[in-house]
Amino acid sequence: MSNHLTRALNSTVLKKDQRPAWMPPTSPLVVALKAVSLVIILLLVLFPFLVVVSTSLADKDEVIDAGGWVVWPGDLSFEAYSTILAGGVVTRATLISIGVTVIGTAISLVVTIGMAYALARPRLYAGKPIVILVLLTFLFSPGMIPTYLVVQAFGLIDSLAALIVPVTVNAFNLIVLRAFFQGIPDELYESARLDGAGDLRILRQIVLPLSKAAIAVVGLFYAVSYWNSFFGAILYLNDSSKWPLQVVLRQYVLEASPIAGSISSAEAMVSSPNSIQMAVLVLALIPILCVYPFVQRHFTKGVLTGAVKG
Amino acid sequence: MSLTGQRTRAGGPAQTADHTQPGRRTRPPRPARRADRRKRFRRDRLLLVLLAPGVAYLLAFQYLPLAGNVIAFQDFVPFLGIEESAWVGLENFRRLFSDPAIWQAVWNTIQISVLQLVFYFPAPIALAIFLHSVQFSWVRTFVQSVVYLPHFISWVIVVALFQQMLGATGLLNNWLGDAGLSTVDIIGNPDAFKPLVVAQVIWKDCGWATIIFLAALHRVDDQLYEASAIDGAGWWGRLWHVTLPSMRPIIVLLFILKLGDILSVGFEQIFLQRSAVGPEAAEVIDTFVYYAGVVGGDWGYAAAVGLLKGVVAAVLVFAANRVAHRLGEDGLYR
Amino acid sequence: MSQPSRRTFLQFAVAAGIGAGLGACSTGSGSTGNNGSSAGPAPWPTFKAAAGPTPDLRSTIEGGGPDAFLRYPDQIVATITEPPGDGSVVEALIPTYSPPPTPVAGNVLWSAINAALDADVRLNLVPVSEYGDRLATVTASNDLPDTMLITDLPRARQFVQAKCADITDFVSGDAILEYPNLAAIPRYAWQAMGRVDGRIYGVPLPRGRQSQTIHVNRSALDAVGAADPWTRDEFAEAMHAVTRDGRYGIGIQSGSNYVMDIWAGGFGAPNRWEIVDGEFVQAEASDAFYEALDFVRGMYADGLFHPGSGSLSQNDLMNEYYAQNVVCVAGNFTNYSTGTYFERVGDRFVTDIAPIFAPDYKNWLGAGLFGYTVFKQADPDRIRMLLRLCDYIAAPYGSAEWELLNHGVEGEHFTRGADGAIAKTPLADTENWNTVPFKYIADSMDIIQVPGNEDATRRAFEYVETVVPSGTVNPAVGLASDTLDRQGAALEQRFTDAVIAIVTGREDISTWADVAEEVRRDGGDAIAAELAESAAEDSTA
Repeated sequence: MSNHLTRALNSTVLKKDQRPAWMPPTSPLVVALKAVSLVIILLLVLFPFLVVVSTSLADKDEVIDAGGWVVWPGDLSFEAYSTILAGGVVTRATLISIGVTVIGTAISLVVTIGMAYALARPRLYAGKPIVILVLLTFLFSPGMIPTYLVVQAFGLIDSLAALIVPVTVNAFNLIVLRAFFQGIPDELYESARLDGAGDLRILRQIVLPLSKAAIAVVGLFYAVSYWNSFFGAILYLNDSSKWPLQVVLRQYVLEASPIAGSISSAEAMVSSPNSIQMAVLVLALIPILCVYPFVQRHFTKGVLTGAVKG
Repeated sequence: MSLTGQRTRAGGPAQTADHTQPGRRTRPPRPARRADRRKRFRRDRLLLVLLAPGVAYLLAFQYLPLAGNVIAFQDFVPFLGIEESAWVGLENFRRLFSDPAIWQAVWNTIQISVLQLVFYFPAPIALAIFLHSVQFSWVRTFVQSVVYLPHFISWVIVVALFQQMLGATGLLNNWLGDAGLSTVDIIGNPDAFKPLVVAQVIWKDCGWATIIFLAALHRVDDQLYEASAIDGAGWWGRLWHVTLPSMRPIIVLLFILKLGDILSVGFEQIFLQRSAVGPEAAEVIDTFVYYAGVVGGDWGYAAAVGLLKGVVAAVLVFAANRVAHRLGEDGLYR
Repeated sequence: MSQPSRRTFLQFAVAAGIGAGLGACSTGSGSTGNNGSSAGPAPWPTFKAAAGPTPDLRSTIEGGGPDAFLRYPDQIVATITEPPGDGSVVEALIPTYSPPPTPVAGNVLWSAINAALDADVRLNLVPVSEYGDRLATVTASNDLPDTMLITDLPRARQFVQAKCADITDFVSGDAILEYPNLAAIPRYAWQAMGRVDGRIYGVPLPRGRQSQTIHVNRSALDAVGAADPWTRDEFAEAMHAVTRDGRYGIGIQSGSNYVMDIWAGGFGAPNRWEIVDGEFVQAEASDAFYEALDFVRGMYADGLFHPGSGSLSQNDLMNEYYAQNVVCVAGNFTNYSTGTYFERVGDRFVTDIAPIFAPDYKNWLGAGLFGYTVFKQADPDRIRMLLRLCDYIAAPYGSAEWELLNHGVEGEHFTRGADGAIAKTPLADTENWNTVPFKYIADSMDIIQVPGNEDATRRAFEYVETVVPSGTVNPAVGLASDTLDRQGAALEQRFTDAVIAIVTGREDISTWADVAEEVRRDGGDAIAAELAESAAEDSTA
């Protein structure tokens, strides 16, 4: 559709002389200011992360002597990681989480795209009541007990489907995706219709290709919410061998949480060492860190420019 | 609303409210409208098929349990269920408003929400624009991948990290102390609590929220920049006349949705830090209800507050949507 | 927990911290729905000590206290001859503090226990911080598991009466002797659980009655010549002496009321409630409580508290303790008596516990109850079978059954040294009594044993023998108050907030009387009246 355009836009990066013609040369002062701001932003985020990673890699005794947190480890130790990964429980839970995330995201995206596309069409039959129907679910939340009873009535208790079906559509994601779909110029729809394209073909050939970034973002939102979810699993699953990763990992940190019920006060319990808690955090973050570049790949600049032109 | 939805889902005779149609001032006589609806129904049937699974989901897993909010008018006991729990009328609401402490909680909630709207809401927009202006794509990808990570750290650990950095014996104060400077009292200081809470939210979620704006930015029509540059606009001019207007629909949309959250300011984050600074500074609606209703298993009371919050959010969102229309924006819906 | 928004956190069922029994967490309308059991309350189960090995140090506490074992017994005896089950499936809802176990099919420990029980026990494990949520949904679902642990369930009394099996006929009086290990549960644990309309619905999981304690860095205290044991003044003196060079006397975790339970107890305040002329009076209104509050306020003003007090999580505070930045922290006695954190301390310093305060050692006793197990209604044979399972699981320390449940299978999970000591195998890292926690279905009385540390074992034993006999009991334990159930947490929080404000100097101590008065007016009086009523109803002849 817009190969030449993508190429032209990609060339805005890297060398100065590849900057688009309209863009005035950037003054060195601005470049320096930007660089300094970037470094500050990165430091603000990365320094605490450095502490997290260092603590996870530090020797047990070093962590204790340092009061629980290590800025830079003396000797590297992978003991915390091997403790967590021992026994195969984390591996099994990871596979479950990946499965739930992949299948759940796929289902959610399909359903949400269908809804968002239909609701983005102007003058849709019953369009506005349905939008309000969606919006109200964003504003009012069903209680835990009624939801449990519905999940039970559908026979989903102790089934992994209970981690997906009750949260298939997220009102926020739907509204955002619909807004992006609405941002596609009407002329495109009109001309496609004149070409005799049906709703599905318009969706496939115009809306989806032009909304890759939005779909990637909404897909990321869904994937992350499936990946991070734990409460549904705790409520709906009886069999702990079906626990997803987040529930399992939380158990390694749980004792550190002051929200834990008072029954903990009756039990002989010490929190996991900070090295283990931080290793848990790092393990949970690695997939997240890997995913983002794939999402960003869809952030092609100016797709609409090309579309309207072409 | 659910009734309308069910009819729609069943594809039954159309009874949608008239005001759904734009241009209602010139609305045709009744039979013609019915014919128009029928025509639209036929025209849109494929789209309605696309909608069906989602609507079915909403009805089953959102609206069915939402009906359970009637327990707001009950002394609800889980094992008795809705049928057998006692109806208490407005007692739960009366109890809520008869407690003077609720007003402190409401005031704190609103203060924190407004601070978030002013400082947290624009932060990701600014960050997105800034990142977008960075020319090296690998820098953009790297920075973006880094700044969205804190979103995935649980509040327990975020609070602990802030404690380690800014606490009385944290790194900052140790460093200030070593340098012979006076130390700062941030954690556990009631006066600093609200800014601290907002700062934590910004640290944790700014990068995450940036993603959606980045996606919006990548749709800006480059020709507009070009035209604007030819008109002699500088960086500021391009921002004001091209970038922001292109992002405006999504900004307005997210702002309206954010208003719907104005009475919720992050239970866990506040709860973890509430006791150190006391209720005057840190009691918010959710923590108040937690102690007053949730711990004691008073489900009806908690549901009553949930309903009230929903009503307030609905009023704000629908009002904001109207204001957006006045300003020429589509907002959430038209 | 990234999206707390509106979903879960309003539904966290965290306890009021007043006691885990039926009584403290149930409604007062005890007389409704009483069908036929009008002949006065059923007698408590008869107590009979279990047939375990002889302890090295036998508790002398009246009513029962933990025995101590200096080393693992070399004679392991079986207390049960017949497998208790009938081969059927048993669903058990219990909390867990640990990562999940490997599934039962590949789990040597779990399979071995099920084989020994002759039952297919399916543990429905729930992370402890969500256990309250899960209990609430399960009770609402009308699809109850065969057994479930009840702990901190609001309106538990109504629930068990309506939905759970009445086990009075199986456990009341001498009937319990059919289940010898359940007969060894101390009477106070049954009482803390309480009866509903005079009937018994659950099997309590007993614990020692000592409550929170002060863990101290004995090495640091010895270095400044601190007294052991210490009086109130000697304690304050020691705190002054150790607070210097970035080290502080005491640390308090976030959310705590500066452990006023400990100080108020030490100053002789009544344990939460005091019965004066048949009326229940709140401890917070007592002079002793005020004095204790003033004492803590003074220590705070003198800078003896770690500056992170009130902000640091328990985890971070304990890290400060291990790193010797703080000398005293409040914590569970069992963390010491089972040596759970000794490894973390290592040989950095000697960790110890210190009773508050010599010479009287007045302190508040706990309910001595972790929770209690109730049963889905079923025919008597099945109830008997479930009770036999509980009986097996509640086998005493040093029995063959206890060894299987706690240490696993010899050769698989542990090996026995020449002296009889247990050496764990790597398999025990993933298959152990924490990951496969049958101990939350039923349990025997605690014992004291700090593995490999006879000194600490003796020390813990002496501590209990000192503080329990001199301690004060909470007269409200085992009693019912609807208002306490619903508003207890909010009222308690008012006190906590006021304590923190006064101790940290944000409010003047003169405001304390107003707070106590307000709490009394806003619910305290109602609770007191309901407790008195409940006490009158439940008094046994």
